[in-house]
Order: sequence, then C-alpha cells, then structure tokens
Amino acid sequence: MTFESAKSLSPSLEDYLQAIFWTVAAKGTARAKDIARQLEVKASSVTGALQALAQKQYVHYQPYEAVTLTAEGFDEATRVVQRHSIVREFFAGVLRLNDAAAEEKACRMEHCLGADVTDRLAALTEFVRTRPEVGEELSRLLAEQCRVADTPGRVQGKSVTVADLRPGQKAAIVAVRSEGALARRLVDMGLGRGALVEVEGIAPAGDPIRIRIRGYRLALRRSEAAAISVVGR
Amino acid sequence: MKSITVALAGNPNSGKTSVFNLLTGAHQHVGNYPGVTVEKKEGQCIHRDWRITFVDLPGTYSLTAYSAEELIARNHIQEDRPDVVVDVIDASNLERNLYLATQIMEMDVPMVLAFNMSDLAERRGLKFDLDQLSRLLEMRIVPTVGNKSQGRTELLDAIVETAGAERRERIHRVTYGQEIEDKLLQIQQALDRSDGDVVARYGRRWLAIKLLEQDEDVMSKVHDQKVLEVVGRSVVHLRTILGDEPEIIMADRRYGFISGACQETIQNSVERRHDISDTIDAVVTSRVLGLPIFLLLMYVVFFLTFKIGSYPMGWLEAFFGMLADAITSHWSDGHVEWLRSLLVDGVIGGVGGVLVFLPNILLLFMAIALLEDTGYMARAAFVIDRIMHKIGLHGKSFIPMLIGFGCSVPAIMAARILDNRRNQLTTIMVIPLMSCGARLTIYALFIPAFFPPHWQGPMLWLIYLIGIALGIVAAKVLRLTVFRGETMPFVMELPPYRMPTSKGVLVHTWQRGWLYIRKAGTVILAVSIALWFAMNFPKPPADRLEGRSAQEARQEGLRYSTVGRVGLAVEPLLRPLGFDWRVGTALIGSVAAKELFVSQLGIIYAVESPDEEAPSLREQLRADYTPLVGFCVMLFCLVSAPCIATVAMTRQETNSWGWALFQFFGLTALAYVLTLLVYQVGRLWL
Repeated sequence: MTFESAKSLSPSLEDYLQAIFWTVAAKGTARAKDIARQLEVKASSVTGALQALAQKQYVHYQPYEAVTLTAEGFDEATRVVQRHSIVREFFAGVLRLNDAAAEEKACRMEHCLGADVTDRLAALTEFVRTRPEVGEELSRLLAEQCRVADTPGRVQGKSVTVADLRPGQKAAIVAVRSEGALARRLVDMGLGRGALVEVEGIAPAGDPIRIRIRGYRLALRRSEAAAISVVGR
Repeated sequence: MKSITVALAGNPNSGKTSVFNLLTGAHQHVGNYPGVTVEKKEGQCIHRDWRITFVDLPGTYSLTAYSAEELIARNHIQEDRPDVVVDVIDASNLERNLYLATQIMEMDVPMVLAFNMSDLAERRGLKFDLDQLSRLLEMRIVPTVGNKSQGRTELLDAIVETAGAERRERIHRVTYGQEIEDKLLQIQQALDRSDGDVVARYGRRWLAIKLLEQDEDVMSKVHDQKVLEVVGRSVVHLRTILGDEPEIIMADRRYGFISGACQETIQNSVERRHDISDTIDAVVTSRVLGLPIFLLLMYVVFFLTFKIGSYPMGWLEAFFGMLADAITSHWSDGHVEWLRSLLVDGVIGGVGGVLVFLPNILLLFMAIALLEDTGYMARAAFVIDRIMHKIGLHGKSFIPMLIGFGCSVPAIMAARILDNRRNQLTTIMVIPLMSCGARLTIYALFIPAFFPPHWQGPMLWLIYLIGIALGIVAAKVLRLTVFRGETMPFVMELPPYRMPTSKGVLVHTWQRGWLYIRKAGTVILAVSIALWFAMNFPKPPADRLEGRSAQEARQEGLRYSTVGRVGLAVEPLLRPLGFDWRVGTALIGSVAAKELFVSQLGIIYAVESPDEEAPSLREQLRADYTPLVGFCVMLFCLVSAPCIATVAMTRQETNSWGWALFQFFGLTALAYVLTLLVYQVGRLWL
C-alpha cells in the first residue's frame, strides 16, 4: 500500500500529466513554458510539479531541458486522459451539456472518480451512442424535465478508433490493436503510441480516409484505421 | 583511381530518383533484381580521383521482412556491403524520413544524409541546426535540391570523405529502454556462443534487434536452437511486462529517439497553416468532385496514350511500309523470293510490330510520370480504392486496367505502379480480358456481318461488358486461389503536390521505352519471325499453283503451311465450338497480333482486299456461319490466348515464363470452356 500511495497523484499533478501528454503528442517533447501556457499557470509552479512527477518516475526531467514521459508515465497519462474523455463524453452525450461546459466540468470532477464509476459511465455512454432511439428519448426527457435545449447527441463510446473520428477531429494514439505486417506498417509510418492524428477527409465512396500524422498526409482504409485506438482531445 | 560502391536509400517521395539523376547524369542502367520484379538502377560517376558506382535501392519506409522491396534494400546493405550508404531525406518531412535512417544506422555502415528539398523546408519556416544534427547522428549531412541540381559537388565530397574515413564505434544510438536492452544483451551473449559466421556477417546488435522483432528472414538464418530459445523467452517476457509486441515497442522507441534529436535541432518559426496541398486535396478528393476529376484525368491519360499516340504510330507504319516497298521493288522477281519475303514480311514486319507499341508506351509512361511526380497518383488510388478493393485489387490497379482497353502491352507494363507483388500479378493476369483496340477490328468485321443494324451497338457493348465481368470474376478467383494471402495494408502516403520537372519525366519515360525494346522487343521479334516461317513453310509444290490467280495461290500457300496444317489438325477440337479449319487457321495466325485474324480470314477466303470493310468477306462469312457461330468467334477472340507481344510483356514484367504461359493457356482454356457452353446451349435455343 505504501508503494501505491507513493505512485498516486493529486488532482493537480494529474492535470500536469495530461498537459504533458498532449504537448508530447503534438511536439514529441514538452518544455516547461508549453505546459505553463496550456494550464494557464506560472512557470515556477510547473517546475515544482515536474520535480514531483520525476520523483514518481513518470517523466524524464532535468532543469532547463525538455520533458518526456517514461513508459510508466505514458501508461498513467493514458489512464488519466481516457478517464477525462469518458467523463466529458458522458456529460456531452448523455447529459447533453454543451462542449465547453462538458470539458470544464469534466476537468473538475474526473479526479475523484474510480475505475468502478468510469467503466459504468463509459458503458452507459456507449449504450446511448449505439441506440439512436434511446438518444432521442433521452433528449425529449431532458427537454421536458430540465428545460435543456435539444443538442444533437455528440457522443463517443469508450473504445474510440481513428475510424470513428470525423474530419477535422484530432486525437492521440494510445494503442495499435493489430498484429503482424499491418501493425508494424502502421507503427513504421509513425502511427505509434502518443502520436497525434487528425482526420482530414474521406474518399468519395466513404473509404479510405486521409489523415495527418507527424506532419505528413496518409491514406488508410477504415478497416486499418479501426485498429488504432485513440483518445479524443 | 579508387573505386567505391555507394547505395542510395530513402523513403518513397523523398526525391531519391532526382538525387540519383543528379549524381549519375545519363550514365544509368536499369534492370531487375534477380528473381523479382523490383527495379534495379545503377549508375556511375567520376569525382576527383574516385570512380563511384551508385546503386539505387528501392524506396522504402522501413527495413522489415514484410515486403520484397524492404528485404532487397536491407540485404543489399548487409550482404553486398556498399562502401557508403546515402540516405535521401525529405527535409520537410523529417521525422518519418529519419525513421529509415535510424534503421540503417543500426547496420553499422558508413552513412551520409542527403538533406533533400531543403529549400522547400526552409520556405515552410523550418530552421535546421545541421551541425548539431550531424554530431548527434554521427554522419555528414549535405543539403541538396535534387530537381534544381544543387548540392552535387558537396554530396560527392562528403561521400568520398566518408568512404576514406576511419571507422569508429557509434556513441549515440537508439536505446530501447531498460527492459528491452537487457534482453538484447542476453540474446547477444547467446549469439556469441553460437555460429560465428552469421554473427560476423550481420553484427551482433543488429541480429539481436531483428531476432527480438521476430523478423522472419533473420529467424530463418539463425539455426542455433539455444539462441532461438532465448529469443522466444525474451519475447514472451517483454510481451507480458510491456503489454505489446516487442517490435511495436521498438518502433515506438525509434520515433522517440528521433523526436529527441529533432527537438534539439529544428526550430519551427511558423505554425502550420493551410498549405496549397490542403487546398488542392479539398477539391480533388472531395465527395462531389473527387470522382469526376478522377474520371476526367483518366480520360486524358487514355486519350494521350492512344489518340495522340496514333500519329507517330501511323508514321512508323508508313516508314516500314515504304521500306518494305523499296525492297520489294528493287528485288527482282524469281530471285530467292523466300528470302525477300522473310526480309519484308518477317523481319521488317517484326521490327515494325515491336516499334509500333513504342509511342503508346512512351506517352503512357510520360502520363504516369506526370501523375506520380505531381502527387496525383496517390489521390487517384485513394478515390477509386473502395471499388477496386471489392474485387480484391488496389486502387492503383485502375490505370493498368483502363489502359488495357487500348492495348494490353503498355497496360501490363503500367502494372509496375503497384508495389505489391500479388496485386501486380493479379492485375497483369486479367488485363487481356479488357478488350483491346486490335480486337475491335474483329468485332467490326463480324458484328455487321451477322447482326441487324439496331443490334450492332448493343452487341459491341455486350462483348466489352463480358470482358469486364470476366476480369472482375477472374481477379476475385485468383485472389482467393493462386494469389491468396493477407491483403496488404493500403496505408499509403499522400505526398505534397509538387511541380514535376521535365528532366525527371523525360528520364523516366525514356527508361521505360528502352526497357521495353530491350526486353520485350527481342522476344516479340523472335516469335514474329518464327510465326512467319510457320505461315509460309512448307511451300506447296509448284504444280498445285498452276493456273491459279494470285489470291488463290496465297490461299493455297496458307493451307499448305504449318499454320494451315495445324488449323486443319485442330478442327475436331474446335468443332464443338462451331468453328471449322478456316477459323482455326485464322485464330492461330492471330496469335501474332489480334488484328491479323481479319487479314488471315481474307487470305483463306481469297478475297481481294482483306479488310473489315470488304463486303465480299462479310457475305461469305454470312453464307458459311450462323450468327451464333459469329458471336462465338468474337467471344473466343475476346478471351483466348493473348497475342505474343502480350505474352512477351508478361514474361518481362513477371520475370517468369511460368506466369506468361499460365496466362496464355489459362485464358485459352477459359475461352474454350466458355465458348463451348455458349455454342452448345445456344444451339438448343436457336
């Protein structure tokens, strides 16, 4: 248990870890000032947080040098980012909050939720997402009872892949779920863990799709894109 | 003078070809790697007192054992040990391009980086600290602009300097993290205790890395069971603690190494904004305009190849016609006439038959070079892939199939644009089913002979549609049987749109044309001459020709010749299809070229002007055959044995007589069965 507590993170450190995750996804490494800008805090407080994270062996950090995630740090960050995305999608997709409110409230609420809660939220969100009739019923209910203006159900379930993204959406890769030649080819082309992808468009026949990854454009079939798990931003 | 060998590696679309042209100028030799259809280009140049031989490796993104190109590139570096490897890098797309560099670095060979298209990268706001990057990667880096001929001397200087430099142990290299490094060390120790030969050839660390990646090729080269056991245990252990295949984690770590290097050496002064390629893509691949633009450009390619190509083809035909006439008129009658005929009909006809395809091939490959160099080719595949994928092919198969409607010969050559062997072979096999222009002369003779005017249009459509349908079915069947296997990942780069250079396009076009003449041309010529002998010998005895007209003499000559005899001999075989010896003889003759079918029939019927307009030939056909037989002849000509030029081209492009003969006999067998069915079933109804 002592080991567990040494590894556990405060809400604020979890926010730092998320910020580092997204900066690394976009740029490969993160500098203290990128993190400060993203979290809207002073550079001096970033230093303290980075030291704390380095002590827990989640990041590689030397003063004045760029920050990268350790393997352990990447896994922890993925957990935190995924949890954030589950809560946000639940707020937006089931409770029909608008995007900004969903994002803001998820930021505040996510830290105290354990896996027991987030798993159920994810399942519920997925349920609503895959059954449009339930979504419509839910919208009607919320409109009557809570005077919520009907917002279209912008919902994502728990296991999002590149194939689920709409043009213009960005997401970070958390895993490539495939084997052999395809998996290797995807990773060789730069679609590895932590990389940021953006869907740019879809072919006239609906397949393949074109994406941007590591600064260049790539086309892949939906069946291949479905092997790449991501978390949306 | 000292001689060295330099291998040129690099990603597709990195401008490798333009750097190769820049280094070697016109001194190039194009061929194939032994046993495979991957193109091998070599060139030479002399720099100061060095004679440098350049080998252009296939463009690859990685060096795995999953694709033929990557294996070839890797084996060349490992087994032929070039003195220097030049890796051509697209500076505006650094991360992914350096990924290949990290893998070549692991093979411990002297390297130089050609930092290509550095002007474009700088215009995009990227600033490089090349000195720092050079120190990090421990190799010379030379900025080049291949298509503007910049950086040649500097690159050559760096190459000879690197070749002459003392070899040193690398300080910086990709480290794969504690867990993986531990296992790499264990495997290396196991290797030290085993077959020294393989270890000496490939290097311990590289072998250990490839073994841990479970690379099939390397696994098959290491026979020591103890080593393989250590590898097996390590893979299982890493899979458990890292939650993924070691090869995937290791690829990730390479990108990690690159990110680190880039962070220290690149400054991006401008945030990425919409560039011109985004704007073009928004139109060219859009839902509404994507397909129309694609179809329009495909029409332009077809038009350019065959319509514009018909003019130089006409000139060539006229030239060879004049040559033949000149010889005939200066060669007095009765003076070794067979030799005159051999020269005029066999040799000149044969050479003409080879060169007549050249304008098509040159124009088609010019169009393909333009599509590829601008970057549209990848978009074309992107737009049409859904449909082609349904029949088991790749989006890029569309162009060869389309060209097949003009002529199978350039079409088969165009299948080169496919980078997967199974896709390429499947496409080549079904191309002859796309009804080519030469077969149109047969339909033009037969359809008006047997069908009333309002049926003629639909009849022609029907023939073409049967060909397309058969092509689709055949492709599907081949993918499920002969060419079965995992569909290759589509995952295809969409390179930025670029302005093609005239030099690049012309060099590419010329190389294709020359390859055709040298490889396929010789086969076509040889078979043409052989066929000429078969059609002219043995000669009928002089008394059988007495008192006959010229046409009747030709008729008798053909009947008496080898071809005529074979036609007669196979008649029992063709009877069930409704064909007699006359059709049989014409069919055999049409193997030389499909349009010969018509002139052969003309000779057999001893009509005066044997072309499709001749009413007398149509009338005779109508008198001898039913419309059902007429249809069956067309069907058989559509499907059966491709002409010898096609066979020669398939032989060249598959690098195997086996595939060429498989195509020839497979299609003939298909034609036979199909025609048999149609004729026998049709007879019951009509």
